[in-house]
Amino acid sequence: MEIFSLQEYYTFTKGIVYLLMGGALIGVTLFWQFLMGGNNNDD
Amino acid sequence: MSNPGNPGSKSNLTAFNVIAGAIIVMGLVITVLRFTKGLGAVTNLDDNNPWGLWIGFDLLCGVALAAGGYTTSAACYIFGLKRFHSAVRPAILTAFLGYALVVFALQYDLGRPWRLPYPIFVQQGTTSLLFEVGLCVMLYLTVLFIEFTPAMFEWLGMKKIRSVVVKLTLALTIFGVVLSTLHQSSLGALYTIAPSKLHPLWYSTYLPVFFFVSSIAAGLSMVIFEGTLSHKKLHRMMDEEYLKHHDGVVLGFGKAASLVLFGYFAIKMIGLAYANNWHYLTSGYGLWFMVEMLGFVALPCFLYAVGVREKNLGLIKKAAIITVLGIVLNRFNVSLVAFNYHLPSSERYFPTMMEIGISVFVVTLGVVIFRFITTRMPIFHEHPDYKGEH
Repeated sequence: MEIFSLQEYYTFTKGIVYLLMGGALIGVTLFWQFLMGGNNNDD
Repeated sequence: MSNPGNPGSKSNLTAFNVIAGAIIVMGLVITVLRFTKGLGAVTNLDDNNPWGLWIGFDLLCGVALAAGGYTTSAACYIFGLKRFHSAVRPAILTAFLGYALVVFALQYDLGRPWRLPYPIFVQQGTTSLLFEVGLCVMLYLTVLFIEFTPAMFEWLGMKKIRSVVVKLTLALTIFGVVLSTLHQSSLGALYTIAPSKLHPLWYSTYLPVFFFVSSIAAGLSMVIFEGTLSHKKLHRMMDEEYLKHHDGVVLGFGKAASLVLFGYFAIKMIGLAYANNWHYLTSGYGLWFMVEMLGFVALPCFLYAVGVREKNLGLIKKAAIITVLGIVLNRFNVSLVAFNYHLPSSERYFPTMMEIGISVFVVTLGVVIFRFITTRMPIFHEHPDYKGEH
């Protein structure tokens, strides 16, 4: 993506950051499920 | 199990003692050279690279890997996870020795050790991050020493003063966590002063956050790693209580380290996106960055998770070793590899053998003192007079 102004730069980078944040929030929930599963059921 | 607390009457001429002795003699010789002939005689430091291996390894790695002290005591005394209690004393001792050796090793860089108190008591540079780091390290080293003293007082039979210090445990733990939060992050903040010198993949305005979060993973992993080594070499000093809780400590810390590494990976990626540095990933430095992030953050995170799920202690211990190496790699990358990346290779820094020798000397000193203390004081076992008290 070509960026010509500071406005466009922040729109682009912040947009990616928000997407990553959303992904991380969903990811950590799934990762928690994975981590707490298996044979580990004592706590 | 033999009698815990009894160092035994074996010959002192063991392979460990001979090698450690040789390293200490070598270190003392280099120490004399350093303090009589100056930095130029023993190091490759210059105006472009005033901070070398002694800062990158002895200080940055030393402080990060000593984070087990505040993570373990916070887990036990603040979060109330008393099942980790058996890990507190070894972790506090490791942290105390780690910080003490950080201050010791720093003298090689600074010179004139008799002026060590000056920045704190004579001429405070209150606008400097280094002042804040110095103040925090001084205070935290004092806190760690006081936290360690109950074991020493039990060993010396000083019951009254021990009971006074034990009452301070919670206050000391809270103070220790606050101080650690401050200076672990400030060490990262030091590098935010050099945005043009540090490669963009490692430079970030969030470096303080990266350093703090990674120090938690380092501390948790170091407790597992140190416990594993102690199990092999100091098993005779451990009592039933310690051995009973050891597996639970490894599982619990492995679970926590896995979550912290997941979070660390996520915020590193967010830092990358925030600065829009994706295009650097295809360069040589980018590949090295990927090695660090995938091989030493994502991989141990996954191994920890699988190890915890399957209650595979061996896998968790392997993940701890990879994480410890990863923290060392990260601190090396920030302070040495990616620092001054724009300079031609002829002007890049590489440590001399004598610099490496001093770092090996410092680590050896730590191991020898740790062994000396744990074979005498109640670190891996409870003192018979204080069963279930501490």
